[in-house]
Amino acid sequence: MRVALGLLAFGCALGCGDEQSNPSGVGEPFRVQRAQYFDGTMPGTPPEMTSWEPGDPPRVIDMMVTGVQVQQGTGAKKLPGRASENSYSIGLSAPGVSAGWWMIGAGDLDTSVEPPRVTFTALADFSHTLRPGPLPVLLVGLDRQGNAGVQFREPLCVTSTGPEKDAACNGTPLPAASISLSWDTNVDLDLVVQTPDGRLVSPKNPALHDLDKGDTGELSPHIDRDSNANCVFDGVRTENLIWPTLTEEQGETERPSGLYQVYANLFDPCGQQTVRFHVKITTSEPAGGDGAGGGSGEDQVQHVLKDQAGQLIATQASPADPKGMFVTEVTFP
Amino acid sequence: MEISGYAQVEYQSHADSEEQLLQGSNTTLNQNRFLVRRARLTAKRAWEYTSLELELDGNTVSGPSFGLYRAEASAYYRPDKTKAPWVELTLGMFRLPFGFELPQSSATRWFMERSQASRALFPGEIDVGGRLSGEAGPFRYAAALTNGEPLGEKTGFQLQDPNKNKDLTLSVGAKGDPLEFVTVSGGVSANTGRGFHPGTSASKASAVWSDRNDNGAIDPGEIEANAGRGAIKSETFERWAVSGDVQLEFRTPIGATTLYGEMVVAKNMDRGFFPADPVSNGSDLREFGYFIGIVQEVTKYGIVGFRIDYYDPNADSTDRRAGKTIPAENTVTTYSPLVGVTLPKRARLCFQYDIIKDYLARDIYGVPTNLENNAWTLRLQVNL
Repeated sequence: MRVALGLLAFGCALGCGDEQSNPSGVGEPFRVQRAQYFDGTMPGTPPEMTSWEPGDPPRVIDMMVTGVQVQQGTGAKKLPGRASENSYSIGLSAPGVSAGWWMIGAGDLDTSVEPPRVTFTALADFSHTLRPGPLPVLLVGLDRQGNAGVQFREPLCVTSTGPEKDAACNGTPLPAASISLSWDTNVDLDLVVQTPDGRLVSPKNPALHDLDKGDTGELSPHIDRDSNANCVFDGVRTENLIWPTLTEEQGETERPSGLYQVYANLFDPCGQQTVRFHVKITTSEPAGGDGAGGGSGEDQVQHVLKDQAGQLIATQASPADPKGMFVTEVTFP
Repeated sequence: MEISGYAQVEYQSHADSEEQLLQGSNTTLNQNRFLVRRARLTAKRAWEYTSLELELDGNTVSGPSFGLYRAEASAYYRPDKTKAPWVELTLGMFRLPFGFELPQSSATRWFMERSQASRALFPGEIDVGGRLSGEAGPFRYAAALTNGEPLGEKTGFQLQDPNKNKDLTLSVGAKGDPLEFVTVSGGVSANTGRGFHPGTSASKASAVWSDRNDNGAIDPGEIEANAGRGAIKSETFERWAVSGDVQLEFRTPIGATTLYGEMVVAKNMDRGFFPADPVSNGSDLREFGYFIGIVQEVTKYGIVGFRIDYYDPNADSTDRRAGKTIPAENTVTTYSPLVGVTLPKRARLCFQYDIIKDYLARDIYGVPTNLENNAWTLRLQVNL
């Protein structure tokens, strides 16, 4: 017994207590590349409207982020900033979406300002699973002695890869209706919709109607992108047929009616064995229900008419088939 | 003809294991797994002046793998057939005669793997070339000329040779029994050669999109022209290593006690852990390592052991932080207790726990600290 306890004490003296895990954090909705991840609450005190003075604990002074709106799934978004000279490391967290925080090293000294600042640039990844809307990122300076100062709040906002796009950030109106196809692996999958008059709409033929010369088609129903076209991966993996909501100046909002059939066409499996996909069909209308167009996203009510999942395997690739696999159909009133 | 072999099958568990892939590759981060670490089959035939030895290796370390591991064609002069040759010339693939751990068979080593320093400087035991070796009384010697790119090295040229220089390995040692129950052995070794820094091919002109405003769209001024570039020549660099090793064996009524150790100093020699490239680094990298181990037999059916090994891949390592260059440590110290049971010459079942102390993580203030990466291994070895 004494020997066992002695061995336990010896082993613990060697191996207990001072270890720090360093998980990849790939599963975190907000991830910083080449950074160390820590579970728990980030050190520092909540943001406040005071300025940093020499002698204060380290602090992030300012951020120079270009474009505060970030699309779901964006990778390597640069978050450059400057911190007080006494900063040794910089912590970053996205409260509410992550249970931990990230730490990067403070970079070189910027002596062009007085007092000098240390610079840093975090490369951040934003998961597909992040909910569209405001995503404040908190940053804090840390010194080698364990002091953390006042946190800095960077007001980022996540935009959707779906038909809602930037509605949650800018209050732009939701589309009057949409048919969305999203999938989980890097394949070239295409949304194909057959309209009541037999027309096939797809990323290769994205407009619901023939367009006049010079018309970009942005204000009429269309498919918004050809994701992963020719296996050039864009990370979006979503295609949407959108009936845009127009303002009064832009004209009258078109709403779909009749039977629409939805297909998923596996154009190229891009070396993958299988792909799981989702088709979601929505409509939206003003909260008051009067059918008028042009309201902001906050004033609208969205209805989900269909939410259908499916799966395709590589042998079902059919680049010559104009439709692909039938998924679902919907009759708009 | 002698046919022999063994298989080492194990379960490994690592504290830093994750159910994810390494970003940018398909390498799995999960290391908690069953593993055929080594399955070796050896065929040997010896005649009066010559011998041939072939060893095949199969394993599942990086997926199923099977291939030639050792091929030794030897000619020798051996006046007493009960002893080792006075002089033996071997050509082929053989264990490098450097230090204590490299020439030792994995089948006889009690600890799961060689020490960190040995694995860093020589990722594999095997190289291709020629070796002159022999024994006279208590003394042994060996000199080998090899390609210098041993099996398992990570620069992409294993068992090939990207430079015309051949690596020279020298080793001398002795073994004796100063007392009836004590055997002492030891030796010194040296290796010198030239490493290879690969150049780059000429490139064509290209255009690169730099998303300066992070909006995911190509805006004016974001397409940059990259002019074609000329080839950059490859370079070679000097590298060497020197080691000394000693082993003491005490035979007692409960079983033999073996105390042994080795120390190595090297320059630009790391090819497995923190590959040394002084051309890229701008200065030479100095490596230092040692291990001390003790193995105690408990009757002929049991074994306990403990090993400390230490390795510093770059004694001049620095860290850049907050605008300042500060000294940094990259050292790895591993404490490895071991217990096992054995059926002599037939099988052994061993458990080893590795307590690894390094500086691969950072604490919450950014100061380098010990990464949580301890590991344990349960291994069954059965001999053919």
